[in-house]
Amino acid sequence: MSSSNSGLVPGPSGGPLTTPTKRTAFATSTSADAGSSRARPAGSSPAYSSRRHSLYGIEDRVVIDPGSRVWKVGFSGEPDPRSVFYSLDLSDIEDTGAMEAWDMDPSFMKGVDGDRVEGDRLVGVRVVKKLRETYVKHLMTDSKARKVIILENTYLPIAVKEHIARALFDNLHVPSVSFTPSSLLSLVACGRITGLVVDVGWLETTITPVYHSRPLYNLSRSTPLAGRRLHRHLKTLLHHYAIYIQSPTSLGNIHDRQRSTGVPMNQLSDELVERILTEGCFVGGLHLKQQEEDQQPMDIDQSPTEDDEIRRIAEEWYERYGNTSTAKDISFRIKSTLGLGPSTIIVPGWIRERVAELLLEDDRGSEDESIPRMILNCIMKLPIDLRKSLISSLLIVGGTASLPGFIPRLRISLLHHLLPPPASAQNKSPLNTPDSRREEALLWRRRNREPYKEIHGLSDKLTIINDPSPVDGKSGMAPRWSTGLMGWVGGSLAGALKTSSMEITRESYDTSLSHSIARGEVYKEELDLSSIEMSTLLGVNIEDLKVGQALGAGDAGGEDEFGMKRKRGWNDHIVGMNDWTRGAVRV
Amino acid sequence: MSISYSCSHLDAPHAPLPPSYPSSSSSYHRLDRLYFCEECDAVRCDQCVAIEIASYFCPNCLFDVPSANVRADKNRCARSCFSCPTCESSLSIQGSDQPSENGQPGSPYTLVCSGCKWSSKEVGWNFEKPTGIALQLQKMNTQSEIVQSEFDSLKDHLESYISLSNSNTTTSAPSSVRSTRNPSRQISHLTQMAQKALHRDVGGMVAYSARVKRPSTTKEGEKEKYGWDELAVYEAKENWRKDGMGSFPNQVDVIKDLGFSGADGMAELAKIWGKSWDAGKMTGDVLPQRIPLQTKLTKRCPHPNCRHLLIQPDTKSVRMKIKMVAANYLPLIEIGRRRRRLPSNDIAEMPELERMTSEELERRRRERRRARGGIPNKEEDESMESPLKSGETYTFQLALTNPLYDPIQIRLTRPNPVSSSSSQERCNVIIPTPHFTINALKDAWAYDEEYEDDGNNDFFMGGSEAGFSEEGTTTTTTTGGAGGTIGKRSRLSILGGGSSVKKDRGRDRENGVEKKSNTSKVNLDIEILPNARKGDAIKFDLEVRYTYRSDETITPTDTEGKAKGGKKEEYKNFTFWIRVDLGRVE
Repeated sequence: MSSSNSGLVPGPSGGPLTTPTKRTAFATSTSADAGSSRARPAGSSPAYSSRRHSLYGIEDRVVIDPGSRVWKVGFSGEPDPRSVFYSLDLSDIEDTGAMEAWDMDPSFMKGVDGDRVEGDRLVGVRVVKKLRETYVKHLMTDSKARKVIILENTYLPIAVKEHIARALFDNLHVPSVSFTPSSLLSLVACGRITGLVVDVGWLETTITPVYHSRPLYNLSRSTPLAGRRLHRHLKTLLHHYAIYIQSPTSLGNIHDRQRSTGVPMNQLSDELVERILTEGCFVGGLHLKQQEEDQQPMDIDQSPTEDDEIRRIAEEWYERYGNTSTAKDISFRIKSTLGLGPSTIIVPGWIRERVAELLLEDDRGSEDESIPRMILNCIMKLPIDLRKSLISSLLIVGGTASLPGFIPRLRISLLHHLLPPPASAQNKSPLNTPDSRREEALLWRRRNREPYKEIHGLSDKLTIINDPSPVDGKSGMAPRWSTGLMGWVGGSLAGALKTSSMEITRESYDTSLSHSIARGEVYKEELDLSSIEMSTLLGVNIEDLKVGQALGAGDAGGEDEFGMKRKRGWNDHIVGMNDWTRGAVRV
Repeated sequence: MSISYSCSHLDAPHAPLPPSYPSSSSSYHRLDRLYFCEECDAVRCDQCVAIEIASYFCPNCLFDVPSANVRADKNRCARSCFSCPTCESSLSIQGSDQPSENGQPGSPYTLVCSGCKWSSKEVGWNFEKPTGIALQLQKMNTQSEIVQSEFDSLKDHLESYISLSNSNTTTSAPSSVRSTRNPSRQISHLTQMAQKALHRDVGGMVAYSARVKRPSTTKEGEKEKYGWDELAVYEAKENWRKDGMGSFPNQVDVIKDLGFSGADGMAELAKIWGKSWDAGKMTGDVLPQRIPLQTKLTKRCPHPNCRHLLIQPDTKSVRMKIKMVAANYLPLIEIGRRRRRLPSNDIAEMPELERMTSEELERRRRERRRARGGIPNKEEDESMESPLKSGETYTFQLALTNPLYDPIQIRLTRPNPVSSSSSQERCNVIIPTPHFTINALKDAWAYDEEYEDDGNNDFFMGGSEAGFSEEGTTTTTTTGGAGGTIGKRSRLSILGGGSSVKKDRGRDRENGVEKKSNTSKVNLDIEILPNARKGDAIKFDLEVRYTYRSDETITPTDTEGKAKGGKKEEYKNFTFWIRVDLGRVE
C-alpha cells in the first residue's frame, strides 16, 4: 500500500525521516497519492477512528427537528425519520385556535390575549407534551440512554430552545443535548459544507449563508413570507373564488345541488386548507404582467374594515391572475356535517397555480420583500469573495418549498431579477447630444429598478443544487432528499458520524442552572439588603411611600411627614400645583 | 361536557391557573388517565410519570416482539403485517385465483385490503409464500437499498472531512472520554489547526495556481486533495439529473391536469412526509407500510426520592401486576341533569353576585333552599348537548362517587384566584351545598339495609330545614389553620360513628344532597354572564377537598384530623382541583 510509504515522505517543514510525526503525516495527505492515509493520522489506533455502527445501537443518537408546525424525529444513522407529526394536538387546536406550537413572539400566540408569560408557558407545555410523545409513542425507547441532536433553526426563539432543553433534561433525563444549526445539516445531507440555505418553513423563510461549515448568522435574513402566510392567503382566495357545492339535503335533489362561489369560512378548516395546498396546488411558470403600474390608484383609504381589505386583496388577485393559468380546476370532496354524503369544493386552476406567487412576486401592497429578492439582497451583503461560491450552491429546503414547481420557478425568478433588461443597449445615441443625455437621465432614474446590478455578473453562476429539473450542468446534483426532511437527514448523518455542535451534558446543564439560580438568589438578597439600607439611611421604608413621595413634596425645602429633607427636582417645589400624585402627600 | 382532574406534576399541590389560561389545560386529565402514588400521597399523570417500556407487540398479529429486534425492525412488525396505503386498515394475504395442483390457492400471493379492495398488484408486489412477507419484500424492494447506499456513501464522503478536521483529537484519547469543555484540548486543537492552516495553499501564492489546475488534470473527483477545512464536491449516486432534464415540466404538467383529488391525485401529506427520499407525490406512489408496533409501559412515580411503581403490566396477559390508578383514591365526579331556570322577578332584582358578601350569599342560599322545599321551582329540564345561552342561569347536578371503604366528607369551593380576572370569567358558579358527605363503598346488600333505615328516617324527620348547618356549627372543632368556610363542617359528627342511627339521621338532614349508596348528588347553579359571546367555552374550576379516615398511625404533625372524645382516629384531608367543561355558548 502506498500510504505506508508515503507516511515517511517529509513534509514541507522537513521532519526527520525516521520519526514520522503528526506533521509529516498530515503533509503526506497533501501529496498526490495518499488518499486513504489522510483519514488516520499516525499514532492513533484504528479502533478509535472506525466510525461504523455500534453493535447495540445505544450510540446512535436521537435526532429531533422540532418545527413550529411539524416535528420530525428519528434515530441517527437511518435515512428516514421514524415519525413525522404535527406539533399540535387536535384538542389544543380546539382550545386555542392556534396553527403552530409557537410564534415568533409569545405574545402573538393564539389564545393568550397578548400575555407573554402565558404564551411562554403554553410553549413549554406543548414542548413537553410533544417530546414525551416522541419518546413514548414514536421512538419507543428509553430517553436516558441516548444523546440527542436538536436541529436549531437560524431564528429559533431562545425561549423555545430553553423549553426544549428543560423538557429534555428535567422531564426526560437525557444524557446530553446538542443544538445543531439546521442550515448546516441541510447542506451536510447534500454532502457539502458551503452553501446558501433557503429554508421556506411555516413561520418564516430564513436565508442562511454557510461557509466552510460555519453558518454566517450575522448575514442571514428572514421574512414572514412562508407557509403560514401562504396558508392564510389560500384561505382568503378559497373563501372568495372557490366553488362550493353543498352535500344534498335529501335524496331528491342529488343532481341539482346548489353551486355557490365562495366557500363559507366555517368550512375552511385548517386541515382542509392544508389538504388543498398539498394535494392541489403547485407553482406555475413566471407570469409577466403588463405594465399597469401607473394607472392603478392607491386606494388605501377605501378599505375601512378588515373584511373589506381581505376582499380587496382577493379581487386584486383575481384581476391579476384570474385568466393566466391553464391548469384544470380540481375538486375536493370533504366531509360535511349536514345533509347526506360529502360536499364538494372546486378550486379554480388559477388559484392552484398562482397562490404561491405570494411568496415569489413582489407585491407593492406589502412591505415584505419577496423570497427571490431576499435571496439576492442576502448575496449582495455577503463579502465579495463569498458571493460566487454561495450563489453557485443554493439549497432550498423546508416543507413549503416542496410545493411542486417551487424550486424551478424560484430559479426563474432569481434569473429574472439578475439579468439586465434587454432594452437598454439597443440604440445608443452619440455622446453629448440631447438624446444621449436623456438616455443617461433615464438610466439614472431606472437605477432603482435594477438594484442587483452589482451582481448581474453572477447570473451564470446561479445554481440550485437540489433543483428537481436541472437545466444546466451544475444544478440538481444533490441527492434526491425531499426538501422538508433535508435537515433531518443531515442530522442523522451527523449523528452517525458522531459529530454535532457542542454538547450540553446533563451535569453541565444542572450546574449552570443551579449557578444561575444561586446568582438570582444572591441578587435578590442584595436587593433586599440594599432596600433595608436605603430605608435605614432615609429613615423610611420605600414600600411605605405613597405615589409621588419619593420625589419629595416640597414646600420649598421643607420637611414632610417623615421628617426628612429631599433633593428637589427642577420643578418639584412649585407650590399649589394641582398634581394628583402630589396631592396625596399634602393630606 | 366533561370533568377533568388536575395533576400538579412534581410541585406541591396548588390550584392550576384558571381556564382562561390555555396552558393550564395540560394539568387537567380525565380521571381514568391519572395515577396515584401512595408514598407521595399525590396524583400523577402521563405528563410527569417516568416511563419504561416493558414489552413490544404488534397490534395486528399480537406477536410479542423481543426488544432486541425492535430497533433493527424500525419499530414495525417484521412478519406479515402491512397497512393499506389508501385506507390504513390492515392487509390480508390472498392466494392467486388459479388453484395449484393440490387444489389450494397457490402462489403468487398478493396483499389485499378488505376495506377498500386495494391490491398489491397495483404496485407490482407478488409473493411466493404466504408467510414472512416483510422478508420477501426486503429482497424484492430495491428502493430502500438505493436510499441506504446513498446515505452510506454520503457518510463516507463526510467522514473524510470530519476525520481530517478532528485528526489531532483522535491521537490522545478516545473521543468519547474527552470532555468538550476541557480548555487545554481546545487550545491544542487551535494550535494544530493553525499549523495546518500554514500548510494550506493560499490564493494568490504560487501554490495556488497549482491547486487550481489540479481539478482539470486529475479526473477522479474523490481522490482530489482538499485542505483541512474543505470538502470535495459530493457526486450523488441518484440525483435529480438522473431522471433526465425534463422531469420537472412533466411532473407539474401532470398535476396541472388533475381534475380530482383522491385516488388519482396527489398523495395525502401525512402519507409521504415521512419519506426522506423524494420518490413521487402521487397517490399511486404510496406503498404499504409495515404496521407499527405498540408497547406496554411500566410507569413510575417521577419524584426523585420515590420512584415507586405505579403501573406494571404483565407481559403475558392483559392484566396489570401493579395498578395504582387515581380512580381508586379520588371520588368520581360526574355532571348531568341540566335545568334552566326560567326568569323570575326574584333573580332580576338580585345585584351582581360578585359584589355580595359571603353573608349575603349564605342568606340567599338558605332562601333558595327554603324555596325549593315549598314553592315549585320554575325550572325546566334541558338536554345536556344543547348549547348554552348567555344571560341564563342553569342548575346542574354534580354526582360524586366515593371509591373508599369509609365515608368521606366533601368540601366544594372555588379556587382562590377566580375573582382576580373577572373580565375573563364567562360564568358565575354558586355552590349551594359546599359541605356534604358521601357514604362508604360497600357490598351491594349492605346498601339495602341502609335504604330501609333511610326510609324510616325520612318518615320521622320529615325534611326539616337548615338542620345541617346548625348542627354543623355546634359540632365544629377548632381545627388549626382551617379558614372561615371550613369552620362550618361537621365532619367529625358524621364520620365519627358510621353505625349509629342518630348520626345517620344527621346525615340525611343535609339539604340539597341526594344520596344513593356511595354516591351523593348536589346541585350547582351556573349563571352564564351576558359577556359570554357565541362560541365561548364555559369552563370553570372547582376545588374539592375530602376528609377521610386514615388507617395508618401517623405522627400528629402530619394530620389535620382531631381525635374526639378520646377516640384515637386519624383524619386526613386531600385536596384536588377539577375543571368542569359545560360546552359552548350559543
